[in-house]
Amino acid sequence: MNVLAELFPHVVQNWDGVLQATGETLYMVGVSLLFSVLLGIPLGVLLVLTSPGHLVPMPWINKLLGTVVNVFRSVPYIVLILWLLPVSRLLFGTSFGPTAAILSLVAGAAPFYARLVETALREVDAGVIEAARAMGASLWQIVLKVLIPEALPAMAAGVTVTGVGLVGYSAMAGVIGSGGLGAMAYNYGFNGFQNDTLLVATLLLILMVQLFQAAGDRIVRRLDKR
Amino acid sequence: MIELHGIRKTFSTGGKTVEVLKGIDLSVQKGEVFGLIGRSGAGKSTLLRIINLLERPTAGRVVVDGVELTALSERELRRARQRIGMVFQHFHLLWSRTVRENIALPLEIAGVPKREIRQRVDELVELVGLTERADAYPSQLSGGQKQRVGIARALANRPHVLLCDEATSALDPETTDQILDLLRSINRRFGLTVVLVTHEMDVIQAVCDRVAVMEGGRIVEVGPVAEVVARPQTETARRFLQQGRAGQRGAYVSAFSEESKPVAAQASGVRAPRAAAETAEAYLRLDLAGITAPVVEEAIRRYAADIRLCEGSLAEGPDGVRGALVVRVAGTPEEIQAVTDYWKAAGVNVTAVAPVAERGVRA
Ligand SMILES: Nc1ncnc2c1ncn2[C@@H]1O[C@H](COP(=O)(O)OP(=O)(O)OP(=O)(O)O)[C@@H](O)[C@H]1O
Ligand SMILES: [Mg+2]
Repeated sequence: MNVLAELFPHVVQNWDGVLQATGETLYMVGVSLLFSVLLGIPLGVLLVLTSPGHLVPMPWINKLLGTVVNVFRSVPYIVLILWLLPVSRLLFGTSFGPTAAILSLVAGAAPFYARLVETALREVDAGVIEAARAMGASLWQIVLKVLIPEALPAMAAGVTVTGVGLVGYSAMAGVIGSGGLGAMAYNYGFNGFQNDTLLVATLLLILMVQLFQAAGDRIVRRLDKR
Repeated sequence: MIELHGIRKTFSTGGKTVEVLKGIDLSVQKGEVFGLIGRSGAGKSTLLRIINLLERPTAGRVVVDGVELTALSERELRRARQRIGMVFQHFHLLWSRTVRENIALPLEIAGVPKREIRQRVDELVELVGLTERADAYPSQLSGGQKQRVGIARALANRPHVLLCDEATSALDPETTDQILDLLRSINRRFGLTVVLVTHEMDVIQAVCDRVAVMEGGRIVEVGPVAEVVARPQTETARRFLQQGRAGQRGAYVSAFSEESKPVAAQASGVRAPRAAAETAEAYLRLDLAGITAPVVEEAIRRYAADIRLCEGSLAEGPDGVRGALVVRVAGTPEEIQAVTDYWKAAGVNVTAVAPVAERGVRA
């Protein structure tokens, strides 16, 4: 314990703070990932279905959705946070803290995930869709029983990629007082000259990403029956 | 069972319009296996996809089982499609589902209760001989096994009509034969009407009752397989006949046993004509469908008349030989009569035809 206390004085002193920051990061990433996936799937499905030559081509809607998605994806996350400050004040009554951060995190990650879903669904063999049509499947049945199940491994891989991205974004959300490991590394580690805090926060972030990626890969492997 | 009236289809891509089907009228009888043959791009697949309205015709009417599909609403059309099975060249199975789950898909779509689905899937798995592999994923199956799944899936909702687009084109010859046998036995057992698209004459000869030959968006020839095989009316049909396995092996020899070899030699003119005795000649068309005995060889061996093969093509079908031959029989009128009587007694449908040379067909 002595050695630890000497090597990581601030961390040992402020162990509770480290735990809390870890929890905040997990909360922000978890909740915003959940909402990004819930929003991204229908968006991605719409992007595919309305595209030319697909099941319900609607060029106007497709263009509109595509443009909105691209706008959100082209604004750097740090700028997105600033633009969304008034919105979160309107929605949550505050523009500060982890919940306010979730709004901008979802705004950044949902369009990204929607594009990944779009790509995954596009990979589904047109022949399989044709077979389902020949069976008399409705649009809804094709989406739920054919498109999504067939694209599931790619969609799951997309969740991993999005989650890893969100860990990075969540660190930037520190500027609006989101808390979390990123904020801790910046505030205490960098600004407070606590090299040990900086190191431990970084290591925890790396560990988080590694575990998340490994779990994601396992799930994808299990889903993929090709 | 299936009636197509004045079907036209134009595709427009990048400002250009192409007429792919140029007015097709076709009627497929209940319970028959109907073949559609033609070169690549002839419009076979498009025509097949118009039967279940996967593709809407630009003009014309589609009637299946007494229902005019072209007049139905989307919802009604989906219900109608549940009774029309479809089998594809590349199987189009869902790789995320096991054999059993793939076969269950059309039943789920039709809203069949779970218990019934399980029962029906068991029946189908057995029907296509995949009981052992029922829980395998498509990626673990051979091509032939995949196509069995495709067929079982197409049969799940007890359709009246089965549409097959090049169902055997991705398979090796042996597997092709197995799949064709399966299709034929299903057709017999359930009285299913089958429309089969192919570019192989062998497939047509092996399973089809009638055939339509397509060329450039039109049907240029249609008739019973034996008829088309024996006297193709168009260059397209003739070319397909030459291409077939039967054509490569020598149409005649392939249809009979070892005994046929000397006959083949005769056919190519080895035996000297008995010119002196020949006082008469007759060109006869022998319809050999369903005949299992080597009646032509036997006649050559037993009768004095000189018998030469002129044209025709035969192949082994599921119910014996299919096809017809035109032969020239020469000798005294009594000798000719004796041979003709023998064939008639053996069950061969014998008709006199014009001399081959006069009809301008290669001898
Ligand atoms: N969706 C489409 N858009 C434009 N042209 C098409 C379309 N589908 C088919 N065609 C054209 O229609 C013609 C007939 O195609 P089809 O697939 O029916 O031919 P096929 O007889 O089945 O040929 P194959 O033996 O190669 O399968 C081809 O020239 C093809 O390019
Ligand atoms: Mg085709």
